This record gives sequence, structure tokens and C-alpha cells, in this order.
Amino acid sequence: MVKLLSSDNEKITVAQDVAVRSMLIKNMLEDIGDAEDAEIPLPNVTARVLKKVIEYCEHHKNDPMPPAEEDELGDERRRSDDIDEWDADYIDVEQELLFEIILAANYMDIKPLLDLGCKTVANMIKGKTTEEIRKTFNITCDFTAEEEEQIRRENEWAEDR
Amino acid sequence: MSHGQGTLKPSAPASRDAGALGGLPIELLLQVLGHATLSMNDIFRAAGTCRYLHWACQAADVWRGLVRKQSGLAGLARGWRYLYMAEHNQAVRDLRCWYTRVSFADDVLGLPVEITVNPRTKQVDYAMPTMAFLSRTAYYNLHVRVTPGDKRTFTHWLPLYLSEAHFDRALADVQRFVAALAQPGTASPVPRATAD
Repeated sequence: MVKLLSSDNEKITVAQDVAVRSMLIKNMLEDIGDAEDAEIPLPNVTARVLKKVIEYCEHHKNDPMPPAEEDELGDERRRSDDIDEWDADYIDVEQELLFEIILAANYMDIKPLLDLGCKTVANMIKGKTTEEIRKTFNITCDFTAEEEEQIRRENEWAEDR
Repeated sequence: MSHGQGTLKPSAPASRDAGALGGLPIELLLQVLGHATLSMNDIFRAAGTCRYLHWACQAADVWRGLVRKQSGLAGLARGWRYLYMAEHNQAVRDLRCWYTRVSFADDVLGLPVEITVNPRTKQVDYAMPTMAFLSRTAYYNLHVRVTPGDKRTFTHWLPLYLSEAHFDRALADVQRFVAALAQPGTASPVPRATAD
């Protein structure tokens, strides 16, 4: 078992095969060797998010490990738009938590979860109008009138393609 | 995206107006914007939301995904070097309509096909394509029906799979072509009103 310590000082114990889905934890475990009750601090992740991340690692603990170095073929495989049912259900959370999961997956170096998060955000952009994108992510339009005009010209070029 | 004479600078504007997306580290934002699920129009629309995203949408990482999508050439799996060589040797640029000279990126390209119907069975006897790219606009809007070179007439037009994005645009015409093969009695298939 591996003991994790969240940023809000909650201790969470997880099985080793679950914890090592995080490359950060895997490397740390290798560094500290067999120190049985070593506690791994995760100062960037709150307990709420950490539990959610662990839920993902539990479910995916038997998946083949992704290759360490992303090659073009790996990229190619990643293009697929489909998200499996469990993942889709898992990532169907309020936006704030979604972004926290992405940040945690990035920090803890869990590539498939990071991909899932980024893909989900990309799907939230896909097919929306500019105004809808602003609304979805609470974006404030800070263009001047002149810049708006420049953007309109750029988009004119694009829209009929 | 043009750099024009506008006031939009290539340097990074503040991310505070970009809402939730502004809260992502730039490398993660680029991973989102560069995701293969997004089309060029999605990127242009995202770029139109605020200065920060406009700036981010100009990053090479974002366009890398689009190049990959646009340039089918199956060879993309073979890597960037292959793509560079293909471009360098004009393999990509030469995918043009012989009649309008328009590129496959800007129209749907296909092959002229001459179909012969057996008068007794009313079935297609043979379908013979001519190996010359013809655009959708040339076939439907300009009614080109004679091949270059040997000047044979043709009746049908088969759009090709050149890239994923190209195929998305070609699919309706491919279906129309297949339908025409199944019912050879009907003359040249009915075009949509305009090229889109």
C-alpha cells in the first residue's frame, strides 16, 4: 500500500498497482526504495480531486502502460474521438472539477487521464459559435472594435472552407 | 491566421479574460486546441473569443493537428519527414483540378467516370475512370463532361478519399455516385444547387 498526503493534509492509502498509474508516484517510489511507511506528499492536489483521480487509476489499473515517449504513431492513436462509456461517465463532472482533474493529471503525470481531460474540453469547444464558447468558459471579449474587424476578416476567409 | 496590419500582437496577452481556459498552463491549453477533434473553423471561432485565445490559436502545436487532418496521404503515420518530402516534391500541391486549378483543400476532387449500360439488362456493363482530377465545381457547376487529352466524354464523377477532411466533404457525392451506379437508368445525378 502507498500513503498519499493531499494538499489539505488528508492521508489517503491506495494499492501500489493503482498508485503507480501516476508516473510521478512511480518514480518517487523507485527513489525511496522499500521504505514501507513513507508518505508521498502531493502539495498541488486537494483530497477531493485526489480521490477522483484515484477512482480513475483504480478502474484503469490493468491497462497497458502508455509508452514513455510519445511518438507520431502514439499521436495517431490518440486522435480517435471516441471516449469509452466508463470514461465518459467518469469525466462528466462540473467544469471546475474537470479543470482540476486536468491539472492534477498533468502534475501527477497520468497521461491517459490528461488526454481524456483535454479531449473533453476540446469537445466542449467543437461546433460552438464564438459567443457560445465565451459563455461555456466564461471568457470576456477584450477586443477593440478594430481588432473585432480584423478577426471578422480572418473568419470570413475560414468559414466557407 | 494573418498577422496583417492589425493591432493584435504575437506576444502573449494576459490570460485573465480567457475564463476557465486561461487557467490552464499554456502547454495544456495548446494540447486542447491542437486536439484532432477540432476543425479549422473551431479554431477560428475559439480565436475570436478574446485576445489570449487569439494568441494561443496561432501556435504551431494547434496547426500541427490540422495539417495532420488535412493532409491525408496515409503517409502521415510515417512522420513529419515524409510529409515534408511529399510537400517538397509537390505531391500535395499537385492535387488540383485540371479544369479550375483549384486544390483539394478548397474543393472536392474526384475522377471522371464513363459508365456504359447494357441495353438488355439495364445494368452497368463497365465503369471506366479517367486518371485526371476534376473538382466538384467543374463537374456540377461548370458542367465539364469531356476529359483533357483524348477528349472522351464522361457521364459520372467519383469523389476520392484524399484526406479525412476531404472525405468528410466528399461523402454526400460518393453516396450519390454509388446510388447512380445502382440505378444506371437515371441520367447524370442531380447536383445540389451550389457547391458548399
